[in-house]
This record gives sequence, C-alpha cells and structure tokens, in this order.
Amino acid sequence: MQSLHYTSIKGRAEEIIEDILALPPIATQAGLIFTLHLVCEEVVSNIVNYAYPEGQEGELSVDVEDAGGFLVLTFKDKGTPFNPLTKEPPDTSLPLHERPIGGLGIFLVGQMMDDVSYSYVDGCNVLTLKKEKAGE
Amino acid sequence: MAKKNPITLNEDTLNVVLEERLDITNSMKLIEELNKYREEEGITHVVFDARNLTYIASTGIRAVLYADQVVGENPHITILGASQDIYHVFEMTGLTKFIEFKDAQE
Repeated sequence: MQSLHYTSIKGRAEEIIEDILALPPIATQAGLIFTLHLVCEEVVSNIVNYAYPEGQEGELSVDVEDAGGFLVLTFKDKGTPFNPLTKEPPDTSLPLHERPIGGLGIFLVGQMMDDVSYSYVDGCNVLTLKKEKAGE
Repeated sequence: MAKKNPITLNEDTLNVVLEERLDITNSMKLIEELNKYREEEGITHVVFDARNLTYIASTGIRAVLYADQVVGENPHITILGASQDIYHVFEMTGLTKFIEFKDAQE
C-alpha cells in the first residue's frame, strides 16, 4: 500500500492530485489514467475547498492499494462530518439552461468507479473508491 | 506555461478553442473570459473546439454550462472533435442529448 499524508491542504489541490497520480499503483494503469485523474480531482478538490471551516489548514491522508484485480483509494480527512453519497444525484434529463452550475463531481465519481463507500471513523471522514484494474 | 483559452466572436458565433485540459487549473479562467461576452447581443451559437482537449473534470463541464446560461439567450452549443473519453464524460451527465457533438470519437 502507498500512502500520502498532508498536514496542511489549503490551496494545494493541484499538487495533491499530481502526487496521487504519480504513485506506482496508479501511474502504471495507463488505460485508467483519465478515470483516476478525474475521480481524484473531484474528491481532493471537494475536501480541500469544503471539508474544513474557513481559516483551518486541514489534513488529508490518501492510501492507494493494489488489491488483486482492484485498485482501492481511501481518502481520510478530519473535517466536518459529511457523507457525499447522501447528496441528491443531478437530474440528467434537464437541458443545459435548466441545470444548476455545479454538483456533478461526486456524481461522476460514482459513475466511474465500481464501488464508492463512506464511513465516519475516529473523527475522520473516510471515502473509499474501488476500481477494477485495466487488462495487463 | 499554460496558454490562454482564445475566444473569438464571429458574427453570431462565439468560438472557444480549448487547451489540452479543462479542470481546476483553468476552468475559472475560462469562465471569467466567457463572462466578458454576457452583455454581447445576438450570440446564437457557442462552439467549443475540443480537438486538443485530452482531459476534462466537472469544473470544465461547469464552464460549458456557464456559456449556455450567460452568453446570448440559450445559444446552440457545439463541441468539436471530442475524444472518446471526453464524449463519455458528457454522456454520463446526460448532456450529449442537448449539445451537438461534431466529429466526436463516440
């Protein structure tokens, strides 16, 4: 398992996403890099921008595990308890001019991963994403 | 160094040439550029040239929605030359039903 830990995340979303994508279990998945980039961006930018109250630097841990045929990505933060999976999914039947601007990020994560789960453990929001690896 | 998203107005059509990526690094900048055209009258089409675009995230889709909602009055939106990955992201959001995709790799 590969792990990253940040004790200060404010304004560092781009750097954190790049660090995650460079971890070997992810960097070697050429066929999945678009998907993994997108889901990491959605999750990390949500945590960096919204998990902590204004003025807090915020912490984030990321674990990436190559578990047999699956990649498992776990994001842990100590921000305000929030289960993103309870968010109402967007109405994808609405035309452009009736769509709210935003709110698609976690929906895309759910669409692109094989499994997404949330728990609140020991004061941490824990979001776990699972994706079957591309064929060797 | 990131290039600017060049936007040109040709009569009733706003042409937007996208960079290689449209995500948290540059979507806000594109929205700011689009905002300059919100008072412009007579824009009926917005064409996003996505032939160089290899990556998009939800913030990029937000920029496309923004164009529809603030430029002109419900302009016709076209995305030109989208890759399969880019098309697939729009497809998941249901937006391929409302946006014209030209020369996309579906």
